[in-house]
Amino acid sequence: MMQPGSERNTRAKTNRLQSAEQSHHSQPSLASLLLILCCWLFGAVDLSAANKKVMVLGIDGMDPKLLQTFVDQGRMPNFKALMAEGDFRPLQTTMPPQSPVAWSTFMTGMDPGGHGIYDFIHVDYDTMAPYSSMAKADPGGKPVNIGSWSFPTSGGGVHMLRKGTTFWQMFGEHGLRSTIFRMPVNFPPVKAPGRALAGMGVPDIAGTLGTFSFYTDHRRDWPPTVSGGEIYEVSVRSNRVEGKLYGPDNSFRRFPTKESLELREKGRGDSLKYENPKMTQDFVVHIDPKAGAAKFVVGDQEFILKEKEWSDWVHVEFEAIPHLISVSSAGRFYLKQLSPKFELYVTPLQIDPDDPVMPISEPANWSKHLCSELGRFYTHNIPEDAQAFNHGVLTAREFWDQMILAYDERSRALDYLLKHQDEDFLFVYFGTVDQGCHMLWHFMDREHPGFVQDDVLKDGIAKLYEMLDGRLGRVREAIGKDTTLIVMSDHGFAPFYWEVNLNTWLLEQGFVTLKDPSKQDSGEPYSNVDWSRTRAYAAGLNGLYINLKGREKGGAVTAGAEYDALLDQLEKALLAMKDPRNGKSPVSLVLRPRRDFQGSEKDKGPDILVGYSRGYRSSSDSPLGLFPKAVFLDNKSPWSGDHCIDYRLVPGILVTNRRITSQTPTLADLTVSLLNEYGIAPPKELIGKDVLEPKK
Amino acid sequence: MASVVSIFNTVLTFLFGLVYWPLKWLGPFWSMVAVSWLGGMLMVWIFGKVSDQVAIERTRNRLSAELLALRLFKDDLRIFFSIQNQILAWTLKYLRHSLVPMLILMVPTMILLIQLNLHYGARPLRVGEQTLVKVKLRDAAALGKGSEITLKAPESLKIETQGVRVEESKEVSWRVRGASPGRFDLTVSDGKVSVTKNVVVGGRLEGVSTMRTGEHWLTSLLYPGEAPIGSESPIESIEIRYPELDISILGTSVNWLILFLVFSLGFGYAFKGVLGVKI
Repeated sequence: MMQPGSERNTRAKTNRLQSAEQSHHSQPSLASLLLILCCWLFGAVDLSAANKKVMVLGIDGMDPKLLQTFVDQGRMPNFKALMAEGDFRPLQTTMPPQSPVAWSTFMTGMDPGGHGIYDFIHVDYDTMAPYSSMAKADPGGKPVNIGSWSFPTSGGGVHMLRKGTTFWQMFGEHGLRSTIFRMPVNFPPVKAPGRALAGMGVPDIAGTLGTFSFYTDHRRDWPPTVSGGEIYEVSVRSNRVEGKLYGPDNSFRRFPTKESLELREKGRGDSLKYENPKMTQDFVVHIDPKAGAAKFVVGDQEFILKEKEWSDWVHVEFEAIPHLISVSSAGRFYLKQLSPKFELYVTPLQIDPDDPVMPISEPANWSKHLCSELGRFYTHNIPEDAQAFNHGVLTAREFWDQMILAYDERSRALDYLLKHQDEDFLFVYFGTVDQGCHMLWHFMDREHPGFVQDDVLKDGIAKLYEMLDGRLGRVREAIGKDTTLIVMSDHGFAPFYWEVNLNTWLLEQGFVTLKDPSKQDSGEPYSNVDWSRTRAYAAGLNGLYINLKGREKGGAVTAGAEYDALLDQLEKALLAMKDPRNGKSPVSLVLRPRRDFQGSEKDKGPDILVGYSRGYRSSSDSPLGLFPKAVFLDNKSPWSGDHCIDYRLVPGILVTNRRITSQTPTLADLTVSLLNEYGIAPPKELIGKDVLEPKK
Repeated sequence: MASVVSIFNTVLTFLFGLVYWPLKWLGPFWSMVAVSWLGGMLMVWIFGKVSDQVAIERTRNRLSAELLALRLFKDDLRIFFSIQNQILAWTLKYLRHSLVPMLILMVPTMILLIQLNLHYGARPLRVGEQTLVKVKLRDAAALGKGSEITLKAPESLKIETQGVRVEESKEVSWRVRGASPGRFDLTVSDGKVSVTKNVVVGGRLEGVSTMRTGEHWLTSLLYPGEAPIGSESPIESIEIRYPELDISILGTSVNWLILFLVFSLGFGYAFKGVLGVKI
């Protein structure tokens, strides 16, 4: 086994080894064998470790209590067998127990203070606008403008915001190769020997975390705007519908904004402001009422859908400069209704794995290879479109169907990866259980304010668990006897009965002052906040920020004693919060990252993390900077299960064919355990300990 | 005319099939390399036969001499410009000698490209894969008269939808899925006249006929895979929307036409000496 000191000394050598390995994927050449021999002689490679195989099946949101219940009911024979062979424990998650945070801890072995991911979204302190915590786009070089044409002098890019080294990068430094399939918060994928496909955090083609399109000839039936999607008006004329698919902004074209043109016409501004138009692709739908079906023409592709049918993946090409530069994407169409209303849903258009416009895999051509083996597949953030279900664009059954489509894709990928398992380490991610628990909880829980009777979907979550049990059975058949198998989840689940508008509570408690209290629940996020008289605000699902001078643009609280006193005051007040409707305490835990976390990023996130009690969760409005009238509300939306609460209430699972030495293993422990499997000493910044008993 | 084109297509497709059969086992890329080599050699040989080789050689020699003179007399402006005129004149002569053979070459090249399109333009359906069968009618009225256009398929092909009629383009389309590998016939009928269309599922580099067309000589020539549809039929064409055949070089998909042009030109130029042809 290597010692930490010698590990650093030999890193350069092993990096060279990685380069050599990356250029010779399939067969080890004589040169690479000699290199391995040399590295072994100098202690860089533990050849005994290199023979070991480890597989991790990552199941987002699998809950230990639900798992035990279904095992006890005899619905999960493969999990039961694995538990009998090895061990099962609840796996302590992170605070906040959100997927990007928890998976970042699993892969880096650090808490949010180390990896810097505190939420799905972070706040830009200058504009107070939220942005994805996982990755950020880099603009291209300053463009040369010629009329309505614009030519960037260099291409843009994207970079990951998570800090820290992943365990498979550490594996790579020791000559080990990994296959990492859809690990969250790994976009763009980090470079390491082996292969990786990015997962949660990958944007759609428009650069958002998922924007569906819905076309209807009854636009008035729908609200003007919906989060996570766009609703477009179309008309049916002579059984023909014309529409447009919208892609990313076209950075090669620019047009004056409507506002600046109007100002100029009124003589109130000389300089025009420009914006890039969106790229579009026309489509036509020919309806045949007699056939109960329609023919779609999208670019040069034609396909037929019957009512209530999903299409296969449809390639959608957006032209930036006609015949010269285009952007490739793919989407699935769902013909919801032909008549009396025309309703068509299109998934967020994905980065095309066959021709990715952004780096979604490592090496870059692996997504294309997977595409040739498996066909096109979902690439963006979270395939299951919970927002479309939440807004009624998809019904529960339609959402279920979409979930199964995504699950089938993952299953085919798992089969393929198991068949071609030629690396030292394999990680495969499934997100189906997580999305199912979010959206189907109210079908199984009669106490839920949004409970809906549905004889099929009441068993939906259990069915998803059973499906994953089947996948585990497949894995157990495929892996060798000596392979260490770990099935884990990032967090568990709880019901989401009541919404808490934390910003409204802060307003009522006097921490926030509005410019115009009569407009409390209208306007843009934070636009009505009088920052000079505001001391704290909420942003994100668990985050609470002090309006700090020198950090926030309109900071009002001085660092030091005033800041510390305010934190004390807030912590006390949060823990004393009561829901007047039932007398319950909605908050059971308050953490302060600067006090409670470790690492260089501990002062980069919220000042306070709020841990809600079981049944409670932040509302959807408050995290984005809105101030609805009521602090507490019954949650009647389909988003009925959640986990963004007190982390102690929603542990994940750890099931393995090895004995677990700790009663309370954590995600960070698992990282160290994986390193120890290969005899790699964990770097000092890792906070966990090995919890797997050495194999006899 | 149509029957002549039909016989011509049948003979040519058979002959090309004979040559192509041993090559298809090489896979898309290497069979394309082999076909390009054969094609390049054939084009150079034909060029040698239909061109005035003596005149081309004389013109090329003269052009070389003028280029040499240009280097020798680069300091004398009067001679320099005079040589420029000579180069221009001889270049035009060279083009004149090449133009007619090139025009003649276009005919076999087009025939070859049409045959290649049959093999590289599309690939057979995979088992389980779906496609669109598009029937174009001669008269849009046939869609509205209540006369039913029907599609029948053997068990190995599953028809998944009713025919979707689009009056503006005089067509009816069905979604069909390949259930098992093989070559099958779909039958389209208006109740009086039936027309079949071949469908290929599975197989290795099988030539696929994307369209069965009417008797017009040009469309018949462009789609040689199947006999033209008789003019008495209300059906003008039947199209199968096969997926494109993917030929990849270093992970990048390249259109077969570009590959063929690049490789055949390269092989032709490289082997012109072997064939004793001056280009």
